[in-house]
Amino acid sequence: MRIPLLANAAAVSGAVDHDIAALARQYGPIVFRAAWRVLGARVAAEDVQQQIFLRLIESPPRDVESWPAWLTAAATRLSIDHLRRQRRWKLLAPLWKADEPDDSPAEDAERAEAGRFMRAALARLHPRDASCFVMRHLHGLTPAAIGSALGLSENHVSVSVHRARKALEAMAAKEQSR
Amino acid sequence: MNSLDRSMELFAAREPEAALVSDAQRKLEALVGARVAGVARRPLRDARGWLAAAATAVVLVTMLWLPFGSTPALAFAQVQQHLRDFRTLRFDVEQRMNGQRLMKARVSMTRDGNVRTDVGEDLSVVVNSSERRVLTLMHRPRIAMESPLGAPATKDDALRWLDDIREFQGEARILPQIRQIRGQRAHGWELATAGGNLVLWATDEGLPLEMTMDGSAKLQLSFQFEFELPLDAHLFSTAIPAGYSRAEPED
Repeated sequence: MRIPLLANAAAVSGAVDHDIAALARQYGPIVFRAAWRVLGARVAAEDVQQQIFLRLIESPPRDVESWPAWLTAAATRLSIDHLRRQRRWKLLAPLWKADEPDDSPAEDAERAEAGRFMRAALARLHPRDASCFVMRHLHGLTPAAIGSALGLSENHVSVSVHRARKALEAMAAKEQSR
Repeated sequence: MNSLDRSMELFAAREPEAALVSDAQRKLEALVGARVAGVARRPLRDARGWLAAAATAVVLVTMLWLPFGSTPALAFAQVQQHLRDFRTLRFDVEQRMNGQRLMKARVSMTRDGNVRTDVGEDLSVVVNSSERRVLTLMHRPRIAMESPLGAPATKDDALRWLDDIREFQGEARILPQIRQIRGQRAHGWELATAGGNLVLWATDEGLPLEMTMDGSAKLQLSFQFEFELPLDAHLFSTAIPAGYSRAEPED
């Protein structure tokens, strides 16, 4: 699992409630990485990272059980929203040049294509299913941690992940048959 | 391994380079530090509402970086005054990456919080604060989308720079050179920011004329301001124009 959950999350949660700056220092990199894994683009990932902490300043949440899981969930949700907006605005593609993934020309073509496919496919899923799938398979969180961060039951998370996987498999099969 | 598993394996294997993470972290800490200090210094203003509404309108303008500091510069206060007290403001903003123009937009706004953003010839976004509605027009496919104000359909905080200049309490350094901009003598003010420099050119009376922001070595934004122009009310109408078909935001 990539995200280390806090051993004594409740105590840490209480300690950082009033210190968003400390929270940003401690968990900013986790949030950036979570967003970047989904978006693959520096500017967009920075935007997600900053939005999350600015929103925390405006309205800090109560009763956060695990900040890493909560922040990862928030980064995932905002990143999925971003992908969905990109899809919505695909007719205006030239305007998004600055927000293109960081794939370099030297990067393996298969890897770049996988990234393009996954981002496009995730944007087409129901946002909750996409978030659960990404948190499970990209960030490596357990269903219990995902459920806690998203306010869902473990069973609900498993169903969402399964539904997302089925939809992604169908999209992958369709893509392959082209 | 099926094709999804293969795609997932490749997708999940990528991690951002350490330099990207640390650069983002540096910007984040500067931004959060400045914002936390700001919150501590003053209560959040109710008036922030309309500016947040304005921010909703500018879909693609960009991410900007907060100025910070400690002591106000007296003459720069005149510049801030103009940005606080306008009845109407229109500005053209151009985004360049490595010298290549990526985007040009015109933003028209009124003091009471109506904002219209025209991005090139492709897109217009109208925020009507009294109607609490946002209308997005995609001109080439002639598609219109309506949403209530506050829906997270657009990029947040894209006009934060305006709020930040208004509230700026750092040291604005006046530049030695004088420029002529649209026939007017202009002084340059440089504001140190977390992510780069902001240079704002204003008349002797402090009326802002131009601004450039260097977000990074590659990305630059330039602004041309015009104040108190008569802006026709139809600019801020959220009625769907003839010939446009209505689309749902998720279409």
